[in-house]
Amino acid sequence: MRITDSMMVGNMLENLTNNKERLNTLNQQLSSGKKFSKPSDDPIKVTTSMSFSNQINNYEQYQKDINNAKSWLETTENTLSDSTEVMQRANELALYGANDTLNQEDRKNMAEEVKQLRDEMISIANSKLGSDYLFSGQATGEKPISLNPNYDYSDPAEDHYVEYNGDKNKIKRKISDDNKLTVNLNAEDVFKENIETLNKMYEDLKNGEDGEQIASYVKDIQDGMDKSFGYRAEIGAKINRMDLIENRIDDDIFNIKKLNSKNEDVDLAEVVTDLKMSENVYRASLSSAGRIIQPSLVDFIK
Amino acid sequence: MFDGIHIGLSSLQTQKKSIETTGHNIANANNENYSRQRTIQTAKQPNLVPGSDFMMGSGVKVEDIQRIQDQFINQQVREESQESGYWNQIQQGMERIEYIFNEPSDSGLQSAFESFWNSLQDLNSNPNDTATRAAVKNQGLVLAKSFRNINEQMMDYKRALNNDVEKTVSEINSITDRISRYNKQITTALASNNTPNDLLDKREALYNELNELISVKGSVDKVGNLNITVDGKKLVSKFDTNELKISANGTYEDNIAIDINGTEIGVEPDSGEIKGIMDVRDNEIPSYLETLDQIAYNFADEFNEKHRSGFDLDGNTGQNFFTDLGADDEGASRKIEIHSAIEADGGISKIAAGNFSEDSSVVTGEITGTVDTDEYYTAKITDDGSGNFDYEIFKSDGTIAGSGNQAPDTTVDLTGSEGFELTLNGTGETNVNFNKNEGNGNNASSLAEVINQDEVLNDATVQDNYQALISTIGVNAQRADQMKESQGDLVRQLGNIKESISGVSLDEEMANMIKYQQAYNAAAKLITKSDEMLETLIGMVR
Repeated sequence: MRITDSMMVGNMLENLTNNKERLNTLNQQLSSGKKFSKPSDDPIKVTTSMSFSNQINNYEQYQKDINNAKSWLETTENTLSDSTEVMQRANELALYGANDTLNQEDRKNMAEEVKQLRDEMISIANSKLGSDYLFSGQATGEKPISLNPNYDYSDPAEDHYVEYNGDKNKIKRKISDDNKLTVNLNAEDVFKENIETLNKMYEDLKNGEDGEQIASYVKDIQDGMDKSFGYRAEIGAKINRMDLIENRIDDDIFNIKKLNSKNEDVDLAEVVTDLKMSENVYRASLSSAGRIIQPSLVDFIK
Repeated sequence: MFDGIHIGLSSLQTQKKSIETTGHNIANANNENYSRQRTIQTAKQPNLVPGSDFMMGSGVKVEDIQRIQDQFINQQVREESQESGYWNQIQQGMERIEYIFNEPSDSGLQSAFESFWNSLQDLNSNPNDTATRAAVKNQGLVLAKSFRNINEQMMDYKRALNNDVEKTVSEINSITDRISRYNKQITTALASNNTPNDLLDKREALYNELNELISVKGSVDKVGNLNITVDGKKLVSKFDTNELKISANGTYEDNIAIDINGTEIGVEPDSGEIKGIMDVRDNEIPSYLETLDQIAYNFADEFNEKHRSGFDLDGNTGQNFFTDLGADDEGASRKIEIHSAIEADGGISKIAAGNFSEDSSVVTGEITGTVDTDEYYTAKITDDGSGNFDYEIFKSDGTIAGSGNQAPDTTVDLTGSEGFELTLNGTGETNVNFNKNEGNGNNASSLAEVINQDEVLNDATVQDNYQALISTIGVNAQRADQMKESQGDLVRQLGNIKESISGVSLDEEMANMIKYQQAYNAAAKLITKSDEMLETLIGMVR
């Protein structure tokens, strides 16, 4: 092939440009740490990376949602545990009150303590998490337990001390792509009966009813406690389930991040080596360029 | 006796011309459109030596100055540069489209979808929190804006490409006009037996340039005119040109036509830059926009449907979150925006975080009248074995509100007694309530599912569809990159072959210069010697 001067210069420039482009790509990879910056660099890797980052985003949100749901459940669990204590004390008092050796005065003194327990129970039922009532169903803005305004212990139609103002709806939290978990209990199911029991016991003690009558509350109180244990077990199981899901999500995030890194992060050692090599090639092509342009017959004609 | 001087003279003249041609070559060594020239030397007509039967040489002359060219290679370069021009434009277009979509990044549509999804999940946890509601509205605004941004930038780019077509057309017209002028100069020169080498080079340079812009066919006629056609229609014919024109068509999709004696005939080039520009404008951009429209439409439609079925903080239903996009997806990515009622001051309370039913796969409710807000209902639906449902609906006090047997997905009308209707979707038991329940965030997670779980389009989720779109753009852009690269290489290789034939080699020219200079020196010596011989002869006579 006949080689002309502008061909050599042209080819040299072309090669220089190519080498420089390669240097630029490697520099970009090194500074960004990513194998690609736009879809055409590697369409499959880019969409894989998009879907990974999407999953990571979702899982991190679910972590947040799980923590939210767990704080609801844990607060519920604490209040249930408080209510158990109240009921245990009521149980002791009922057993003690059943003793016929007590006189009227003793019973009245006991009545005062039971009254405190009843009111404590009401305040437990009206517990809040932030601005939301825990036990009013979805009507989280409504105070779940309020006093019956027409309360009259002697009237069977109005002898209930408190009313429930919430609803029985479930609050469901989505904590993973295919898990929705109910987090709430309502005061009507959990507390209302206990409050009424405590109230009746209080009224009877106050009215100086005999030991037999007071003893009849022992069973009611123990039933109430059993029910409450049942709810606590249910909440505890849910917290455990959340912990499991959370652990799984933690693992998933870790694994996806690892996969994603494999998919999109450059191997630094490899890039640095490639970069060094490309630099050498570029330098070589520059020095060869210098030599190509130099000699010509012109230099030898005097 | 004088022959020696004559021969010497012819040689001097010829070598001088050759050296001048060499000089012309050297002067044009870096002129990429230049074809090197050679003087063709031939012996002059010999004379018969008087009184003998043999002929005597009479020196040398320049018969022709030739352009060194291989027309076949030149034609190949032109054909490949049409393709190269085409792929350059496609590659540029795809690169731009990639920038417009801006993926993967923290500011693309995917990221807007993610943030919106996050805000909806937060709403599921805190349905009555003002800040959370405001975040849903803001992320919704960002998402809609992201759609519109892409659409807007794509349309801007399309408009710019439409202008490019116009510019290219006037460039083509300017080139063809100059070619027709060169036709005139060249044929005139040829008619008077001159070889207009440099004019031919210039015309060819223009013709090469034209080939990059648009796929043309050309042929040189007997008298030296370069006649050019495009898509079978005459563009340059001898000294005349037919102008290319723009004919308006659609929104930024103008066609090109050729004006033949006042009649415009449509032109569809096969290749060249103009075809590349038009393909990006008419094929690439619209196809991606169409997919984007489909995604925007189906997403907003499904989202609205779920949003309408949910209730807001005031217990109202039937509110769209995005403005209704109409009956089809045409222009959906341009039109998508948050409903004015939600965007308005205090509109965040209209975000329907709650839904009536605990489990919408079993039953959905719809308020058609006034409902007692303290009431909730329990629906029990069982399969009766024949494909229909037995249903019982209890009020919160345990009394029956309605019962019966009905086909799936039909509506139980309780408007008369209770003031609402229920649609039975499947078997199961669930609570239905129409209370103003600020703690109900069940619809929020269901809305979030529109983004990442519901198969709203092509049996895939919104995000899957969007990722598929990005993948398509990536694959097409990658292909354009590769085609541009390989076509560019091909043109360069052919260009090297062409250069190898027609290019100027300084070494060669220097060698030739020495060769001609030596011949010149020798011819001058011949004249001196002849002169000396004449002197000697004249001296003899004296």
